[in-house]
Amino acid sequence: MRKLTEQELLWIHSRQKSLHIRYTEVYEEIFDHYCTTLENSTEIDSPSIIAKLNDTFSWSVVKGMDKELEKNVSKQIWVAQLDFLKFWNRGFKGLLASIIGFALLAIAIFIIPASELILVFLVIILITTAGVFFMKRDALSFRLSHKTVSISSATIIKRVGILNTIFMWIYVIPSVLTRGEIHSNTLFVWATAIVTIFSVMYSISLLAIASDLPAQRTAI
Amino acid sequence: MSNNNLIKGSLQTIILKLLEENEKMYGYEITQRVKELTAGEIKITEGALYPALHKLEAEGLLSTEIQQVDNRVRKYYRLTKDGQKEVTSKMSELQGFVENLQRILTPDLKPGFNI
Repeated sequence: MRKLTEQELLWIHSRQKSLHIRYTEVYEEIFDHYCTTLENSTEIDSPSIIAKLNDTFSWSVVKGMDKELEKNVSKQIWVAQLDFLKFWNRGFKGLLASIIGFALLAIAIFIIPASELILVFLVIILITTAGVFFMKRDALSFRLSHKTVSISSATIIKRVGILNTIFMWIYVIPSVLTRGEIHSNTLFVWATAIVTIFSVMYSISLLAIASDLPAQRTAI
Repeated sequence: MSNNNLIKGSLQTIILKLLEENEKMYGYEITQRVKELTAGEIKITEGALYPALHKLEAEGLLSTEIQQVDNRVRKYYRLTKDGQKEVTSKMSELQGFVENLQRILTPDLKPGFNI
C-alpha cells in the first residue's frame, strides 16, 4: 500500500467538489473509497483508476446516495424522537424529570388562560429552536459557495424550520390578520393549545437529540 | 458477466453475511472481499453498496464506528444484536430461494417437484 501524492489528493477533492455533494458523511465515505482504491494500485495507473472511479461515482449515483442517506437518517431521527418521548424507558432520572415536566404542564394549563398559555409554549418552542440552531450551527451556511453539511444536523434544523413555519401559519398569521380577535374563538384557542403541546414535545425531543449528537457525525 | 440485477435483491444478505464473518468492515473492503470470494465474477457497485449499508444502519441492523486513517475518516460497519439475528433469517430465505430456482431451472434434478 502506497501513500497518495498531493496531485492525486487534489484530483479527488476537485472531482468531489464538482459533484456538489450535500452531506459530509457521503463526501467522506467516497473520499475514503477513492483513497483506498488508489493506495492499492500503482501511481502510473492512477489516472485510469480515477477515471473509472469518476464513472462509478457519477453525478446521479452521488445524488442518489445523498437522497438515500437523507431518507435513512430522517427515519433514525424520528425513531430517536419517539424513544425520547417514551419517558418510562429512561431510568429513574428521566422518569423523575418527565413527571416534574408533566406536573408543571398540568399546573400551567389550570392556572394560565388558554390564549396566554399558547404564548408561553410559543416562547418554549422559540427557545428550543434557538438551542437547536446553536448546537447544530455546522449545518448553517451563509456563504454562496457550496459547503457539505452533517446529515443529522441538516435534518434536525429542517424539522425545527418546518415546525416554526407550521406555527407561523396556524397561530401567528391568523392572530395578526384578525388583530388578535381570533383569540376569543374558543375552538381556535383549544385547537391551537393541543397543537402547541405536541409541538413543544416535538421541539424538546429535537433539542435532546441535537444535544446528544456530536457536531460533525451521523452516528445516532 | 453482467449480473447486477441478480445481485440487487441479495445485496443486503451478502453484506450481513460478510459482516457476520468479519467483525467490522468498510465499504471498499466489502467490495474487495466479494470480488475475492467470487474470483471477480460478482462485482458490487458502489452506488448500490453505500445506500444499502446506510439502509441497514437505519434499520438498526448495523452500527458504525468512525476511525481516523491517514488524515481522513473511515466508517466501519458492524452487526448489531438485531443484525446478528437477521443474518440467519435472511440466509435461510436466500437459500430457500436458490433451491427453488434450482428446481425450476433443472427440474430433472428433482423429479418429484411440481409447479
